[in-house]
Amino acid sequence: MRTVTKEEPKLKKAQPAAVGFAWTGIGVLALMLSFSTLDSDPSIAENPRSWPIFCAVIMIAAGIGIGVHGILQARGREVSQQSEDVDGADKSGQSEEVVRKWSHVILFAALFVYGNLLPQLGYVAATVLLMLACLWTMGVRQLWKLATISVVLTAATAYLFGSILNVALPRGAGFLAQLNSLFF
Amino acid sequence: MDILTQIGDGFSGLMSIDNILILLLATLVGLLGGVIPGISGPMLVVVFLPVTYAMDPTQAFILLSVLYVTSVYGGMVTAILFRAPGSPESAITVLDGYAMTEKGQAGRALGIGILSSGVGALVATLAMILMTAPLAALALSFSSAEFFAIAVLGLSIVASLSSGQVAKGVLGVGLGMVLATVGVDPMTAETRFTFGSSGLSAGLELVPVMIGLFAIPEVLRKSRLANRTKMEASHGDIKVLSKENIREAGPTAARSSIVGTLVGLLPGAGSITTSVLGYSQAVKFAKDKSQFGKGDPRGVAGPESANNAGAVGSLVPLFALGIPGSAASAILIGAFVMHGFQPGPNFMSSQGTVVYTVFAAVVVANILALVVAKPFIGSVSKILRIPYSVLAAAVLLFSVLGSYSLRNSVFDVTVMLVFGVLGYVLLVIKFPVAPIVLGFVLGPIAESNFRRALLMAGDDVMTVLTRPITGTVIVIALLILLFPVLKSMFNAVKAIASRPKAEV
Repeated sequence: MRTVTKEEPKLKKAQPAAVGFAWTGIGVLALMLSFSTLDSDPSIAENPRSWPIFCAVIMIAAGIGIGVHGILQARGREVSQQSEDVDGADKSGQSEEVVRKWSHVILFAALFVYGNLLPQLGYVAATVLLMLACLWTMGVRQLWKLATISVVLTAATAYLFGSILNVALPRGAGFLAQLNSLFF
Repeated sequence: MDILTQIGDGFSGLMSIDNILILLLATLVGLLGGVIPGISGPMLVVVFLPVTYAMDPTQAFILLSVLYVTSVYGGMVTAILFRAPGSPESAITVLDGYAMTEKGQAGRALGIGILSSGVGALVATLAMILMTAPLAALALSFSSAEFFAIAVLGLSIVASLSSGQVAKGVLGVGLGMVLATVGVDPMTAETRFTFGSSGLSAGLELVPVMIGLFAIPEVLRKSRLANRTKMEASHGDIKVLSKENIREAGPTAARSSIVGTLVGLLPGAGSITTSVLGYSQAVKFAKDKSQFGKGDPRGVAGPESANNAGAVGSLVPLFALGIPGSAASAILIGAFVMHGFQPGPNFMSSQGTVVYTVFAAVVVANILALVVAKPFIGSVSKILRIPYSVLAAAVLLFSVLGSYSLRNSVFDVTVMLVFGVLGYVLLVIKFPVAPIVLGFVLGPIAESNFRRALLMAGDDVMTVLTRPITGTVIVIALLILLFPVLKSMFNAVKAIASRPKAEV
């Protein structure tokens, strides 16, 4: 899994025009859903459709704007020299090296599975498994580290949220419910 | 005099062992979070939000506000030492801060950074104390139409400033507003875009949406990367209040603090924008501009004073008007609502002591940050040895818990995951998240006030839009949105006009 490449995700290279028109499509979808699923009322104030339609129209107009801007850029007629750097973008100038190509997908899958197993396994067992999966995915390989960090994080959060903050964490079924009752 | 009494009440409200401990903890965690690249202020606030569920509201607001304010402080340390800004607000500090480190002046750069951050935060805190109450008092006379206009102003500012391309900002705001309409219509109680789902009928909760958009994408992104930055540096002696620092960076810090505070006051502007403006004004006022980008101390003082001022300044519209000034303060609004409060002019008058206790906490936290910054920086290299894998696992766990414990619902965890994927895609295509978040928060405020104003005006849109304050604010909002378009048109006309002269 450890492959070293420069961070150049395919989406980043997507044509700005295509991205703009994709956004327009999402706006059109919102507009269609507003018309097809919401009731109408002659009064603007009492019409539940009016605001979502207004928002969808804004999205469509802005999406077209991004698309047109992208087309103009592609033709070499740069209409704006403004930086495209946005919140969260790396402005430090450091190169980012991808060493775990699929880790984001694995992490997301682990979270998704965790969400589904939580009611059955209960908080403690499900969370220990999640932590093991996360740490392994992010490159932790020593077993003692994996086990210690997973158990400590799980126990600490189970006690904090389950006992001190009185959050009704899922207890699971059978003997797992007894395991959870050790913590909360 | 009244303000002095109230701030006095605020300080006495702060004086309990629990409050002081929370304040100390929040200051240290905020500094720590600011230092670590990949842990931003909004992420920190959103991760700590679930911890406040069982807290007394005042303590919860102290914790979250102080976390937010001090996280901006810490960001400059790694920006200066390692060219890796700890928070997005400090990204521009890299330009001159790291250049100073390369020239062997890291200690000086850090000293100027600490001094400027402190000046910025304290100037803005003073402005916050002096301006919030009068602004809230003024807002008490506002009707729904004026609140609608202020929300629109906030949306237009965030749309125009958060990204290089206005259309992206506008689209983000539109998307955020559409997402906020999911659930029950506030006027007719009809459900919208729920598709028969009982989970969606209560609407999308702000907390899982925020966690999904802020915490998850950054963890997913960093999980793929090698951490090749060598986080070891000797910075030498750090002098904060030296004559040299005050002479070289003082005037810039003072000017940028005022700019940062004023811009931070604008609903929707945020502290990232202020740091860029702080740097720009530092360059603008400098007689010798040749050293900027090569290690000019004013290039550290400008953005650092402005971003700290902007972070504190953004709390003013939050408390006075109930309108968030930045993405992080939008999360704070979520925290207020979760604890049963609605920030705004009525909140100031009914819960004045709570508000002034939070103000007092921000004052103390800023002074504390100034005092502990120097020894704290000394231990930064040790702090940065904590592997990101452990931090990321903890962030993911707190993200799940924060979403789940809001309503004890796995559905909210699913919402968080869906928004996590959306946030990751947006991060990859470099689409700004802040407009979506502010659209999500300000959209319902704008909608409910607009429709209420329409009801009162007998469904006549023009009656609403032509009220003096409403009309003026809406025109300003439109001008803010149209300014970049008008500017490029003006430049194009100017270029065409100058062409014949060049040919002649």
